[in-house]
Amino acid sequence: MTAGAIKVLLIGIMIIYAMLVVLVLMRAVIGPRVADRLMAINMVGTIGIFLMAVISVMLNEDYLLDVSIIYAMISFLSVVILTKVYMGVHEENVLKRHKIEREKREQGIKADDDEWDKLLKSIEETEVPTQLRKK
Amino acid sequence: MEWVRFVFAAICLVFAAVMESIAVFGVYKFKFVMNRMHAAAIGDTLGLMLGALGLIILKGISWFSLKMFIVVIFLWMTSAISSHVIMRMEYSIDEEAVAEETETIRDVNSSEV
Repeated sequence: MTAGAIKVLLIGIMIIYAMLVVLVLMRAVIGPRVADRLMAINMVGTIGIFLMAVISVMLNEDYLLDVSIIYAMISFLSVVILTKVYMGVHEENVLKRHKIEREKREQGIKADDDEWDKLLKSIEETEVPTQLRKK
Repeated sequence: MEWVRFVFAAICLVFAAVMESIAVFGVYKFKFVMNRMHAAAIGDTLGLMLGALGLIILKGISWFSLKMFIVVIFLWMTSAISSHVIMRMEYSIDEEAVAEETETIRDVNSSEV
């Protein structure tokens, strides 16, 4: 008697969570910054882990939970490593830019403030790839 | 007895789904990453705990509940850490003094912020 009710309940919960996963993935696609996307992927990981647990109850397979433990570890690792990569890229670009500025200064370009600004602008334009530019 | 357990489990699972929905709603409502992260933490902690509690009540005490407990404890520890790491990345990338790079490019020379 309860078996049918339990099945209906679990399937309903799984449908709700599947719809939430789609919504969170949409946030990951349209999220304007990197941090938005990473946060959304983190949420997808959490919901996926819960879905695996529900499936393991529904199929009566305890071993599916081991998969969800491993999945939790890997999703945590992916978030940490992706943030480290982005921070590393950022730091590298900053260092490159400082180097270019120092070289210009060592070449003895003595500029007024206006000219110095123009120089900085030109450096920026050469530095940043066009597809990353905001406008 | 069976039905009592089922009712308690159903209440927990439905509340878990509601909490997760609130988290997703907050993720869409707020305009800035750090606020969004605050909303997302609801689903990572309360939503997951209620869901695990519902499943444990449904299944009874066994190895399953121990594993579920481990998953919940692990996610409670790691979701805080990953929120912290994401926020630190956002802060270090978005510094005004170095405005450029990745996706948060800003023009230093223009007055627009």
